[in-house]
Amino acid sequence: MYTLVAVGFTLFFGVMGLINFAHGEVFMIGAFAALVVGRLFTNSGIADGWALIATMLIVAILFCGVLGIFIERLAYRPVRQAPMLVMLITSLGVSFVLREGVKEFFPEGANPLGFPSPYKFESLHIDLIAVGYTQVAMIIASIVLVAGTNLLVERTWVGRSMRATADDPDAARMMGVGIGNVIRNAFFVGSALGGVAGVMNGLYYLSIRFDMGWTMAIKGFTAAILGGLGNVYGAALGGYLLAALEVLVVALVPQGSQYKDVFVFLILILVLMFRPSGILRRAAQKMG
Amino acid sequence: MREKDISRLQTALFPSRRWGSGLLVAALLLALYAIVILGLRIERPSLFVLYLGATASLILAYQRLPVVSRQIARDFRDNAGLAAVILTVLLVLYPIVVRDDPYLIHVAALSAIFAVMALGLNITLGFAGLLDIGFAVYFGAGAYTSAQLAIHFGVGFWLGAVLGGFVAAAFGFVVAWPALRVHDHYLGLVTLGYGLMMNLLARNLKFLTNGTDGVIDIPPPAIGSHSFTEPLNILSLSMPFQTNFYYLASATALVGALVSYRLLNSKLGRAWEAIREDETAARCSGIDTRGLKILAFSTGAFFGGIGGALYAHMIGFISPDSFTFLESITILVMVVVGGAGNILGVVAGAIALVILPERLREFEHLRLLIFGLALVVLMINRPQGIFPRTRTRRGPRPGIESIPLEPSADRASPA
Repeated sequence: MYTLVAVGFTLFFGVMGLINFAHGEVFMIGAFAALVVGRLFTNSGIADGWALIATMLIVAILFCGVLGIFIERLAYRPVRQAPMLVMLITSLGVSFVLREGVKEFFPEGANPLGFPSPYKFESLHIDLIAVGYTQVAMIIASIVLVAGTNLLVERTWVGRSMRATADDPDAARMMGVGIGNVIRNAFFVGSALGGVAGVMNGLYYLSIRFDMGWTMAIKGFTAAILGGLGNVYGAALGGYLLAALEVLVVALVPQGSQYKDVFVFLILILVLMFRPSGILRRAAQKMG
Repeated sequence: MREKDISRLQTALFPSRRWGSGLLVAALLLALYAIVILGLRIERPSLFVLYLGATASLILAYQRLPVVSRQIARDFRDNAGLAAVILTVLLVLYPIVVRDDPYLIHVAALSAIFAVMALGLNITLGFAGLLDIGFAVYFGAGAYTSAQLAIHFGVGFWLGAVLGGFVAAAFGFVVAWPALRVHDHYLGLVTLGYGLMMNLLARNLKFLTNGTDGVIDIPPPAIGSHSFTEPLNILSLSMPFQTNFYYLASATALVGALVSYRLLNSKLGRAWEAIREDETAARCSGIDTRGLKILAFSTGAFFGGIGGALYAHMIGFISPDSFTFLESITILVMVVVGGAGNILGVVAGAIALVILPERLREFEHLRLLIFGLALVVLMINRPQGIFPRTRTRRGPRPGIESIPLEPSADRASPA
């Protein structure tokens, strides 16, 4: 999950130089969109778990992708040339609007909402380790998505124009790259990934809240920085590392669960100080 | 052409131009004062929304008419002393004007406290151009220091507040070190992470902060035997006790503004501005960018700590919930909306951002939504803030040092 959110951040930052605080909210809205799908399915009595998940994912991808384009068009495009403080505050504003919008206008939006569980809790037993199918599916799905995004960025025409924009927007424009379209594409892909992460989060914890996006935004961003901003695989690696670190802190430090977020922020600061281009420095330079 | 017309009209109205502009300044200040108090007094939400619209269009009109605004700005510059005296008198009289409603005095005191903090961030962000999204850390550091000292060691408010300021400055000093290595976005993130981390620590380090339960029963300040929770008697008038805090906070804010102003026009302030505009060039000119950046963080934090101490002793209760990310953002927005670097603008931003949420309590649940929308709209339309920093040329131009300077009106401020 961290991984998918981190990849979204990396795309925005690489292409636009923007720290998109609203990304966490897109993640949250992805989960809520899936919740609506889940309720529709329950009402119409379709019981097929896989069909439900597939529909949820498709809806979340489309909804969040389009939402991302909308946000970009309405809020970020007008301030694209402005100093970064302006973009930062704009994204905070968008984030407030989305979060409070869901809280106020989604029925019961201010409370944690139960998420439909499409399958029974089966788990895979390998010796003594029990791994839930959900977890396995999530790991596989995130690997597939990250690999797919990386292919998109590295191998296709769309990706090449994104990388060109990231390197040098002016030069890219002179070479005939439509910057506006590139940014729109990046927002669609990044937001769609955020939406998928939101659905996964719902499936995993079976409960979603309007304010879950904020923590996710910070952690996703930390993961993206850890891996080197602008580097898809780096972001993925950062996501896994960060998750592993949290588990370790909870397990090893007394009262660790209270302090795990402290460690997340500490890592954020330390990485920014000493390896601002992330732990995969050389790879990061490829995309700026 | 139109400008000439206006001044001709003015000469016709007032025989002496000096007197004319002085009267104009006085009238404008009084009108402004009346507008603010009117805004505070309106009870009906619908009327208040109408009022907001009217005020906003006034500000817009003012800015769309550069002829008028330039003239007014010049009048204020010419009569800076007069304007300062009138403003001080109006501020002193404020609690008497609204003495039937202690809540209004309380809100005004709160605005003054936030103005102190916004002035602090203005030094870091507005003068030196260093982004700090964790300003609530200093707010909290000052509040906790002064509160705990008062409760456990019986340290009085006056010493406690100064110590709180210094502790906060130490917190600023700490974050300045990592901040030296990073720029722009990354600096924002470092300070953001710092703010979130410190808030979590405040929640968890129970022996220092009493955790999420917060610190209660913080003693109020006192002068001699006069405790600040007793009504203030001036002449035959008995004023609600909030007046004490109002005067204290306003005086602090005033001192803060003066210090900011003196700093801005000092060698130090110019060095900060040089760093903001072009760090490399500043370093090439022999400016100690490292030391000055640390100083900017610490000075800003000191203001934040003083504000925090005032807050703690006025409210009497603090908890980690008073110093969250939202507070950091609010202070940041005060500075940016007011126009980073512009001292009066920042103070206006602080007042507006304290009063508006208080007045919009009827829309409690939509408040943050409105806040977010307003931010986006504002950033798109006025990225420099409502009152942008005006660039004034300071000091002699190169090559004319030898010519004795006349006392220049340009250097006076409309404070």
